[in-house]
Amino acid sequence: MVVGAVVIVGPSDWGDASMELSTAKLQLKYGSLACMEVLGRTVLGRTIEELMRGKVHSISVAADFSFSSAVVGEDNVGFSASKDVWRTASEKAASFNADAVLLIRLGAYMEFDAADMLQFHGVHGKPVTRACNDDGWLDLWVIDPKSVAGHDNDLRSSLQSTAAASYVVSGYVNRLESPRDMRRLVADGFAARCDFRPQGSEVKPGIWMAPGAQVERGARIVAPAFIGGNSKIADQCLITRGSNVESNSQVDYGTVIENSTVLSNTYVGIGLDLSHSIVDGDNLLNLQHGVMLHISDPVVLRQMRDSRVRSGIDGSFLANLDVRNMAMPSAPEKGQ
Amino acid sequence: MEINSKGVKNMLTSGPVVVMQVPEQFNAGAVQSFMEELGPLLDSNRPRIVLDCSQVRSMDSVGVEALLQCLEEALKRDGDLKLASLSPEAEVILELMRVARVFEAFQTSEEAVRSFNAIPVDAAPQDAPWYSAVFGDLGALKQAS
Repeated sequence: MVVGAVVIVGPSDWGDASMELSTAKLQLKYGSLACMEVLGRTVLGRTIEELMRGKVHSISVAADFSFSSAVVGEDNVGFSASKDVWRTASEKAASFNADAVLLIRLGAYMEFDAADMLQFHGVHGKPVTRACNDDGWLDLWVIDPKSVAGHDNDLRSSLQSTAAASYVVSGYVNRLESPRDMRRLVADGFAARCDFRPQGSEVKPGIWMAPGAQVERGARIVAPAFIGGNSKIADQCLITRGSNVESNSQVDYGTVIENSTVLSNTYVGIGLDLSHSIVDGDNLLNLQHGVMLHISDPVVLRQMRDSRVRSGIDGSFLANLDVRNMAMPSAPEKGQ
Repeated sequence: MEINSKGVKNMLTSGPVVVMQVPEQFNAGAVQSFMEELGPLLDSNRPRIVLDCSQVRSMDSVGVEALLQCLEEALKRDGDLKLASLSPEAEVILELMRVARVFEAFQTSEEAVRSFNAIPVDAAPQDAPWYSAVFGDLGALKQAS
């Protein structure tokens, strides 16, 4: 059975936009949250990796933002940037010549058995199978590509109008609807409640460090914690209570990071007390007070390096996808 | 009671306690004019100041430094500076910069003003030293001994 997969990174357009205001402010909305590096790898990267492991023959990513040329040029995974991601996804699904196509909208981080879902789809014989869990529908489908062609390439209409078989996902699901969910995902990853594990070496029990991470001798890391690749933790710092400092970030002298996430390419200044927060460059979201702040003082917080790298769309996503080392069982998708 | 004495704007007094509004954007640009307004009050004897932070939406390190400087000046002159109605933004910034515990903070300006009056300092003359409110006239005490 030839199986393809289309991963949509963009809006669903059917009314689940009731996201927290703070989420929108932090620009963690929809696809961009899936493209942000968390515990060393993006949700998108992990999803693609999982699909590759699940023997999905062709994978295409349709996103509502543009990728760098380096990413577009990858052989194994096709990337398409367009405003109408659903139409693009529809075209990709039809072009696979596959018996079944897995359709995933990120969003949510889902751990599911692709083979089991495909078998369920085959047994029930309906053109569409949609996944759900205890909290409701998930944006994960198996579709019969022929059913897509019958709806004038409008995948959304097709999915909405076609009677779908419902497949219950029993694995871990985090809907990632708010930054709070992201912190929960980090906590669950540390506690091994899911396969969303920190990427790097476990240098001490519960402390993970990615290659290139530098921690000064006088700094203290209390488990569980994650220090991303090429990040620097200065002397007298304390990283504690399930905090993660993502790649290419810097925490300066004497600062305490407690129950917080420092996203990629972020500088956190000297002698600060950062708790219950998510920091992305010069934006700080305090989850305890429910406050989003833009810190204009570069001494306190600032973006490091090129802004294109920060969202994880280019650099961190590409770095962590690691598609070149993954064997594909059949010919990759061409002409992206 | 609203007054505009000494060129200070947005200022209310409740007896000898002065309540002043901290600007919405309390950053390097706003600090200078704020300090110009607050400066004369800090120069007075035993300044008792409440800064209402309800409007604060952002504050940088210069703003935080200014608050600390004001507190230091007030304490030097045997007075005090208290914060009131901290906006969530102000609270987060003060916590981030590790100065939240340095200031006494109150839910409302009224509570902050009342906290000054909790100690009957008004009974003592304003030009008397701080200990006279507690120990009375040491001179009379000395004479009696």
